[in-house]
Amino acid sequence: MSKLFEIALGVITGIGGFLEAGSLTTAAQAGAAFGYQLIWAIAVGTVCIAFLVEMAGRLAAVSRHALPDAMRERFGIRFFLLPLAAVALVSFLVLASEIGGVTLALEFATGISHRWWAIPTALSIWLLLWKGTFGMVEKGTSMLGLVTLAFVVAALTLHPHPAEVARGLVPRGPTHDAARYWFTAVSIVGASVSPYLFYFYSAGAVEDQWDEGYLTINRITAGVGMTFGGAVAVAALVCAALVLHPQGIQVDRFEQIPFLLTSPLARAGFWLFVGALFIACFGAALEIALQLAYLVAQGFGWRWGENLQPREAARFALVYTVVIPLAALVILSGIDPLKLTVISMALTALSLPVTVVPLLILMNDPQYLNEHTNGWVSNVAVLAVSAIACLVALVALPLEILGS
Amino acid sequence: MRRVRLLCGLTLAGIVFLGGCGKSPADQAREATTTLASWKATLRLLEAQEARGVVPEAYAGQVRRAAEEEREKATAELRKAGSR
Repeated sequence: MSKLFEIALGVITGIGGFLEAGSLTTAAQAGAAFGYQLIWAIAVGTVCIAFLVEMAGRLAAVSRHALPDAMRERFGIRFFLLPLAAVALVSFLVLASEIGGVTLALEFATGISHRWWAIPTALSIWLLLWKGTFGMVEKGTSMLGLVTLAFVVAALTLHPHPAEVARGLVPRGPTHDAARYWFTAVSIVGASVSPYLFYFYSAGAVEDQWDEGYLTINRITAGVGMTFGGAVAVAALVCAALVLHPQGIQVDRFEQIPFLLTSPLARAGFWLFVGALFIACFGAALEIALQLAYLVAQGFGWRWGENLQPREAARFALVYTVVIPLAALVILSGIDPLKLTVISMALTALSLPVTVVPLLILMNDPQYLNEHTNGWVSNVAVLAVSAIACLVALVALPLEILGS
Repeated sequence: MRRVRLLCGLTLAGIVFLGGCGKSPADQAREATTTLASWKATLRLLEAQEARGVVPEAYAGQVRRAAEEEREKATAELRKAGSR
């Protein structure tokens, strides 16, 4: 019974925690510009993140090592600095874009410019991390994150044609605007395969003291939770494809995204959108700030733990105390939150080989995994997606930045 | 070390090359026109929803401001593309 409860909780965490600023924005842009054509990119990203999350959990359960800790031990501190820098940079940008998402939700709700909300938002995130526990951050925000299921309700209300949606699962070339198509595809993969998701998951497994008895729970949580989470992102894309695409509306600003819910759900849809954006981005910001602290503290071998008092893990607490206001400053500087989000997602895709390959090497090392090393399917799937996403990002990102 | 330098050089050259292959004036004009049409459609949708009382007034104001800013940008792009 207790195991069933843990599985249910894990799956709910996967669903409630999947949608955030990046996955929502990229899904909305894809649906508005290309209809159902890019559903396959969400599917590819979801399969890849399910594999990665399962691996990170398995590594923690079998070796009792969090990912950065194992990387530093296996490859040495000099090599570890490379993935550390890559993950820290993309996570910082994603943190800034999540804070941007929270501030925009507050702007929609109050009419007060989102820049005024940057500091109060940063303070609230910091206070919750300072006072809260790991369970509160992980489970609390994911439970509230179930409000994102409003996108599923909205998509069903719009009556999409099932065969056409299914056709979107098959990868195919663009019918128009090839550069934008591939850039959006790679941003979707980057949004789905954000390194913070599996780094945070691995630290959480160590915080919760997982052992080999958790391997089945881990597999089900990763597989089912991420699949349902991906389905919520697909629902957002379907809403954009049915509401914005037929009218020729492309998503250039966050202000256009609430139409995804106001069109099918009327006034309630507006407030559901504001709630979903606020909770999803706030939850993601909490997790990313915490993951940055885990990353640095575990990587350098400092004392760490969200369940410890800040004075017991002072350097760990110092990391999130520094990064949260810095990320808020990015939003305060007046940068367009939507552009920041989309570029962050593409950069995430670009950095995938640096963040994923060391994990794959660890996952094939019997010294850490005993008889639980990776099979060839997960190795090939994750390696192929990371390599292709990185190559496409390498071409699409300069075109997007310098070409415009 | 030489290999790293070579790799960095090639990457930089690739980025500069791709930047050079950026959008032509015709592409820029086409994109700006699409943006203008998109915001026109956005305002049409907003008006329809406002009439049904679906969206709050404050939010409608935010969309109008965003539309104005983006339309100004797109018009400037269109002018720039035309003068090239």
